[in-house]
Amino acid sequence: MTATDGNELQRKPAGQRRVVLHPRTASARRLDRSRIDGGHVRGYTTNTDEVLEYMRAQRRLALATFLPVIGCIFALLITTIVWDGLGTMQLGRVNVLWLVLGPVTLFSILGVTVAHERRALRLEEKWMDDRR
Amino acid sequence: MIPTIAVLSVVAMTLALGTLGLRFARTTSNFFVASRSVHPVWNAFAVSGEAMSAASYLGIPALILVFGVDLLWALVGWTIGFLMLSLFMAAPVRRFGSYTIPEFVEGRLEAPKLRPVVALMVILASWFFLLAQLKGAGVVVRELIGTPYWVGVVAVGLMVAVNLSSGGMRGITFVQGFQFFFIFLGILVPFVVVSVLWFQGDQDAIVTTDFPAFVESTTVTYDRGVTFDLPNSSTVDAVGAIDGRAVDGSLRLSAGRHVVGAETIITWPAGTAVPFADGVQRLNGDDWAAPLGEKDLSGGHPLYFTIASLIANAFGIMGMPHIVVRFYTNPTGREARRTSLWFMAMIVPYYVMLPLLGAFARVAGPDLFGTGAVDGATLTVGRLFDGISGELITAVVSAGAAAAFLSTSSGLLIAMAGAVSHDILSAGVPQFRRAVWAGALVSIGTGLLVESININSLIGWSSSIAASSICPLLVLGIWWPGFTRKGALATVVVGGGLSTLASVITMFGFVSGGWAVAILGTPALWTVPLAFATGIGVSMRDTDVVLDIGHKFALMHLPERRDGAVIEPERP
Repeated sequence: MTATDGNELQRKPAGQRRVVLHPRTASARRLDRSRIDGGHVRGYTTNTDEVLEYMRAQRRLALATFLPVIGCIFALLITTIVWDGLGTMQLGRVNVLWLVLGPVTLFSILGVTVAHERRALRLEEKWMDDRR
Repeated sequence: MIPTIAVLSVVAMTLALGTLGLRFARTTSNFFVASRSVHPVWNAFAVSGEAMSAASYLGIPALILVFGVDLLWALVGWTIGFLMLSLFMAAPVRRFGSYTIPEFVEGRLEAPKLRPVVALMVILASWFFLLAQLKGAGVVVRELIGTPYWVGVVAVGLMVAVNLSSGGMRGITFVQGFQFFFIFLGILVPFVVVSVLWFQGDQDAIVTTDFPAFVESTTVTYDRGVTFDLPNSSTVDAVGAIDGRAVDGSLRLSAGRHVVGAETIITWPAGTAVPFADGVQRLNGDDWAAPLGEKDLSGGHPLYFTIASLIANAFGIMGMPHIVVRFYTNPTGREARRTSLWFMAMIVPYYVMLPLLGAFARVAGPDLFGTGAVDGATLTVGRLFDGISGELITAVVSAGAAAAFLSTSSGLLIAMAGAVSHDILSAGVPQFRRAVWAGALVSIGTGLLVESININSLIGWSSSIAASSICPLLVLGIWWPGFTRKGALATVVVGGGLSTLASVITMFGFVSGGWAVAILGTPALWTVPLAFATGIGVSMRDTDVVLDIGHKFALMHLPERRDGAVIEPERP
């Protein structure tokens, strides 16, 4: 980055003035001229802002699925730490903790995956509908 | 005899289908991504074949046999990893259109110099994982046929190399799909049969809550020299060497430690409490069934182990090259999503049934505590049944084990060969074939040296490396436009470098116990957050942003056209 003295700029004739940008600003302006703008990607005409907005929507959806799952898993972990009796509790001669950490947790994660994929596909459909 | 025939059948089928693949595999696209034409359901079979590895099939029951319920967290971690793979990666990595992970990183960040660095991480993570598969092969072949350990390692290494150099990804997809059925049957059949016993009310014959003991008079061959701790004195018949003296006949062993020479055979009377080899912890039934406690996980820190293995397994799956590259073989990103769904529906029942084999082994294979060969726990379930039915169950389980290490070894070797030939040498099919053979020979050589290393230790190191280097690169690269080249390099150097260093220090035994073993043996707990934080921090301070970010994100995220026209993105 080149340091620029404001007084020096004022002394120069208008034709010799150079606008010095912070590299972030320069990059941002270059990004606006992305190849996607006004062009075609995978059959769609779109621009960078639309693409990033769509990406953020998918990201929000993924995080809205992921974070509650992680929260439940850590709640379960803390429960196993603080609840001494859980390890020896039985249901029909089957250890309850084995049931919880086995079929209950794993099939719940499978259910969450199915639900997420359906919502993600709906989001894709909506995006395509908006561009008809 | 029947189990041996079953294993040989799986091997013959693998070679036959692999050779068939030669007829279809001609182009670079065939070899690396099966021409991106694999149906999502068949691809889910193949992904399942890869994911149901010797690490899970043999390793998890082995650890459950010794440590009990805590190892269920490892399965929870893997399942979360597959969920995250579905949420964050399946569709975008396919849509971007690369052949390999390093190529993706180069294309996304426009960083050709970063490509060989990422390739190195791919090779390291795959190599540790492949060693675990070869170790599994050595154990299974030794248990079934009685050959030395090296026979299984060499045979499987060579077989996988022959198959891959013939048919590449296209051929191996076909093979892995079939292998999935063997693996799944290997778990399903004993589960169903033992469940019948359970509901008939014969629970005591299946699981025990006492210290394990020999149910009947049992002859045990100690292939390797071992030191064990005998809880009670016992009169045994022995041939070989015990406590440095040659023995041949009946003798009384006092309670306490004894050193048994290699190839010694001891016949234990019924009711004897089983001895425990050095390194195998002795837990009573309640301690075994309950979580945490005084278990010798991560140097006596079971809570650290639980959290660290959750993180390593979940984030490691997202960075495992042999799993991620399978999604490149789908025709579209939408099909990649369908593959991930089908795959989850296949792997979850497998993970639900798998731990039971470890629980059954406490009754079926108590001799493993004394020999220290707990990696063979899965294969003992057939001993719960007499005669031909026991043999048949052992045959099904053994065939599943063979399919597990063959299938996963293929995927790992293809990831390694792809990284060498495509990302480091920038070459085509002939170099891919050479890279397959080079990778196989190096892995066989090193596989012979890891006989004494636990399968799950090798998997833990591999997962930590993948979770701390490849995973953050992919997640940040796919979902954060601000991720830069310097950020990516810092991620690999800090995350990948530290996790590799910690793994090597542990592998060569430079740490012996306590917190050092915990922190360095399962480093993912601190290397994964550090890698993500480094990548984000360096990128935020970096002024050199990646150009044309809109185009790259469009390639990764925009859905395919509804009219079915598949428009391949330009190759990055």
